Amino acid sequence: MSRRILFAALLGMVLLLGCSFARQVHRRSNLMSYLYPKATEAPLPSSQGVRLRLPLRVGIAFVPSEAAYGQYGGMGATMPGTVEKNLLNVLRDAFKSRDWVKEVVVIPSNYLTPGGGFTNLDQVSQMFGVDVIALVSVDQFQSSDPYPISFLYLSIVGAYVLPLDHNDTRTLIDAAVFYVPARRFLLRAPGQSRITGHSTAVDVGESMRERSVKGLSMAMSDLSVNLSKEADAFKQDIISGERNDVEVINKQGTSIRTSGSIGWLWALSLLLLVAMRRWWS
Amino acid sequence: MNAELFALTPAAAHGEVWRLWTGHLVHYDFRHFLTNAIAIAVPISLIDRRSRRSIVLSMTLLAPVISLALLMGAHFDEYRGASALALAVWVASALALLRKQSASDRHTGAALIALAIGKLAFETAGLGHLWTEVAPLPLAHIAGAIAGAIAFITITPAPTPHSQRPTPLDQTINTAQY
Repeated sequence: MSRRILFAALLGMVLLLGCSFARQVHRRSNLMSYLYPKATEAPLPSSQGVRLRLPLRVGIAFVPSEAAYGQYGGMGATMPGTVEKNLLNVLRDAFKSRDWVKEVVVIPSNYLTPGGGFTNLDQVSQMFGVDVIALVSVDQFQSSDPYPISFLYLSIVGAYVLPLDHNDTRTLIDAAVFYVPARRFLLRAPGQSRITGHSTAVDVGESMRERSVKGLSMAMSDLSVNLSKEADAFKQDIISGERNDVEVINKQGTSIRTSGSIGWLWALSLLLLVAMRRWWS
Repeated sequence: MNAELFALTPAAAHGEVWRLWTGHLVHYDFRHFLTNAIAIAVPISLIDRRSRRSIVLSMTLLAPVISLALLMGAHFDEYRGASALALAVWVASALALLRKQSASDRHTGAALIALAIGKLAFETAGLGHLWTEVAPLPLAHIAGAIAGAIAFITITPAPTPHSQRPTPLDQTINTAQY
């Protein structure tokens, strides 16, 4: 009888423990919420074409984040300034050597007002002297689930030394590049990462915090590779005429997409000349 | 067919020599092609068949020369279009017409020259992007105009002066003297 009571008590405690250790957090910053806070009043892009004069001064900034949802083991919802700067520096270092880049300006996200839209982006653009801004949005989901044998946490020592929590950190970063004066979208690229690991019960918070930063850093590295490819593809699209709304002027002052083009005015003048020749003869 | 393989790019100087010719043949879109086609077809339709053949032949030889001039004198990632050749045909045809006897031909030649000068001046003043779909390269048109003048000087045969041709009356007089 006493064995049954003991077994029931243990089972109850294990189940209780299993529930108490599951943690999740979802950190998200939404580009659309920032640029178009009122969906019904989304401003149309300007009809003026995009004329990019190389080399460019490019601004990069994180989209202001929304509140983190769920229990997060002590980590705040807002990314620390040093982490944010280090992450943006990954992107800056990847692009500063490109010949079409004059300077990459890191814009702290606290200069961007949540839901500020293009009005706020215009202000930031003028303040930092950049026409092209890459807005980086983050979608990171972290979970920590105890293994079934985590009843061993019952011993105080077990909670300190046994890594019986399984952590999963999935990060998706998206960079969208805009030409601010014309409010035109130029290109986008994604970056992603996934980190799994284990931690002890008492280290879950710290472990998740580290993996969050590491996941962001890995996704940012992936993003810089993808963004570089997208920039090359974008250039080819301009040259081939698929993006004929964008003109890029190189350092020598020549459009990278040049042509031998007579133009309608002169072609019509020649046709008019044929008609006049008949009149002369 | 991938037009990017045929456009004039700096790769032409690194082995892809076909681009020196084909860069003048590929275009960005139909409108781009059509305006250039008109600019070639109109002047060349105004001259006689012999001059026409000579000018077309000279363009085959001068096309890579124009391309090399562009690669050396301008900085671009890609160039497409026949307008440099159009200017060459335009100028060569105009000069050929100016040497004709009829007033109509000379007027037409003068008008073509005036139009060519106007276009070059327009582009040199930085207004070339008006009425065109793609940014034009003024150097291409200047090189084309020079190529047209060279084609005229070197290839177009000098016509026999009309006054020196023996008329039937001259022949009759000469025969009578004997």
